[in-house]
Amino acid sequence: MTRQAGQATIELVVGATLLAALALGGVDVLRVLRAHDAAERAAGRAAVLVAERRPIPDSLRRGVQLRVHGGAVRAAVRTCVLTAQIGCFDVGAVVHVP
Amino acid sequence: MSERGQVAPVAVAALVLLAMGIVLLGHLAAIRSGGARGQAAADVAALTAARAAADDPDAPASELRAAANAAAESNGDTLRAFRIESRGPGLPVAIDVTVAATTRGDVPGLGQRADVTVARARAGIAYSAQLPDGTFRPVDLSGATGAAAAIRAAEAQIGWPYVWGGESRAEGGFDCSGLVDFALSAAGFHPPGRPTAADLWRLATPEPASALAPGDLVFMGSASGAPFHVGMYVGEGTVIAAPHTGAVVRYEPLEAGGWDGFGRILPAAGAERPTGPVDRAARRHQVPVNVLEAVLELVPGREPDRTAAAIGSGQRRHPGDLAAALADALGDSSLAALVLRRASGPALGDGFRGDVKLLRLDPGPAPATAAVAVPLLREPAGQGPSGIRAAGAAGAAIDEGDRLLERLSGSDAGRSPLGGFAAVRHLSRLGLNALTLLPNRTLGAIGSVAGTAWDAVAVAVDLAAGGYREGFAFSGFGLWAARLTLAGSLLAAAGGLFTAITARSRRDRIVGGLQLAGGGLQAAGLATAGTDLIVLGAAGMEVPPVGVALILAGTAITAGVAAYQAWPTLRRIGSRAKSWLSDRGSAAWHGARSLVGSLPSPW
Repeated sequence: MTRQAGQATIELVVGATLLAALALGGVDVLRVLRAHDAAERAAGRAAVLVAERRPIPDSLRRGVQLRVHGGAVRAAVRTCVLTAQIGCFDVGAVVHVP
Repeated sequence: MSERGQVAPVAVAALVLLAMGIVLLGHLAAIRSGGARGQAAADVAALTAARAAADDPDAPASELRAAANAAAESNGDTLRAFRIESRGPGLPVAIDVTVAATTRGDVPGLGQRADVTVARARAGIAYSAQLPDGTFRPVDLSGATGAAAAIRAAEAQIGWPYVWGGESRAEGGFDCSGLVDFALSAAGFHPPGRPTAADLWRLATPEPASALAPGDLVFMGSASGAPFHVGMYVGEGTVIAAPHTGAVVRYEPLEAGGWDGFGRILPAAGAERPTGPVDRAARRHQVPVNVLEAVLELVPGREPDRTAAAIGSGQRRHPGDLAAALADALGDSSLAALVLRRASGPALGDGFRGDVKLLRLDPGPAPATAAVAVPLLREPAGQGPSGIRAAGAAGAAIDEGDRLLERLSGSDAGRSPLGGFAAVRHLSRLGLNALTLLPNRTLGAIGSVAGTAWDAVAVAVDLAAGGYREGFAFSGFGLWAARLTLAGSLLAAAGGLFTAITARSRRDRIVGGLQLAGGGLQAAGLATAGTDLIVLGAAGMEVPPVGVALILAGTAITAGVAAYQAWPTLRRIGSRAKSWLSDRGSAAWHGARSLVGSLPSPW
């Protein structure tokens, strides 16, 4: 194996590893973004129902923790990530309903 | 320079670009999140203002706007436009608001940014009024006292069905003496118990017919000392009475009733007032004058006589249900409820309510003062280095596309339902991809160029079909096709990165870098749809306008690179085609000439 070929192989392996790590991290980031999206949507929909003085249906609470207190609608969605060893945590959103 | 030395700068540049892309994507995600937050804030602001209007339809516009503004600010956003939709003074039926959400961030190459996402919402108000059961209609006395108050209370009962007596008010007693008892009580005179006509006769001071004044009582059977029927004189030779079972409270001419006794309980002073066209219309068509007044106040321009005729017809169709009669006559239950509220005054209490509901946005233009068309705000850039010029230019180009799409999306609501069409289209695109895998370089070049041209045309078609308005919506097979496209874009980007790293010439490095940029932008554009793109079980996904702009930019770059790479081959193909056509054309020309020559001449 020539010196140049060895160099290229090492760079390829490092690049591939980096890409794999980035892909995994990307999936986790997307997962958190998805949880945030879900929390925002749930909080928004619940806020509309609260403002309309209508009850919040159970279907809206599926997979989302919803709390209505003091003019604020808080939604939290539990999500888990693979990388960074953060584990599982709540991603939340809040909408104020005066 | 050695090859080793060339690789490291390219790798570093690629990593820097990747990092910048991630930051840019993060900012785009934040803008998207800001848009969602802004929409929620707009929804809540519209509903809050609508609630304020529902609770008090007479509230001034400034108060409603303040309510919407407070709601928007409590969610960290700004109220940009506010409009009350009314069907008349004091009749707000919908609130239309536009809220702006600002996302701030420091994007490499673009500097300090403050991107504004505009959201619009519309909330409707529906009013309802329920008159109390088991009692006469409440009435707004409008400051009247004494006999005037009694007359106003009695007139409000016109059309009320007669129900015979009873010993107490709680039992009903919507008969002749019950009506008079209610009217006297409204004026502050409370007869003991539940008086009959005879009881009222004994309470009254007798007087001659010639001395009758509005508010005085008229009796039948007074010669016996115990009259059996009573009514109330309202002036201009007219009496209000609840005559008998099967009839309703009504106006009657004094001379037609057979009244033989007259008495006064309340002082007449102040009860006499000029009879106007509204009073005359109410009496002519047997409708409560306070209700007719309320209709005319709420809907200016209506003619009293025709309005009274319509209400009278409604009352005949809905005996005893004034709310239904008014809704029937006015063709609007909300307006009917507001009329009852105005006519009844505070005594209606909880009988009046307003419900609010988020409405679909009209396809028409946004409020005149809306900021939908306002371009993205741009905060002054910092004094530091502005970053790589090319990245800045690319960012500005994307920004321009984003701004254009934002403007267009604000003008109308609509989606491009790709679905099955997208599936067929992407399958066809896969066929072109397969061409590029063939060992024949010419066919590969044709497939590559045709594929990228296909992509460019497809995006243009989608844009023309309305995708620019709210982005693209994918579902079903189209969703899978989009996933395959994402995989292809990522592979193209990875291939470009690999080419850029391992390239031995400057040309190849540039080509690889552009492939990386094109594929990366396409993938980034698709990624703006969120995790629905990759999560199994998702029903569909939406690519927002900013994602469409990214895909468009990536496709343009990829198409340019493909055309550049395939140019020699294409030129060779073109040259061969030209020569083939020339040969065939020449042969055809000679053939045609000989054919024409063989034809007999007409001359």
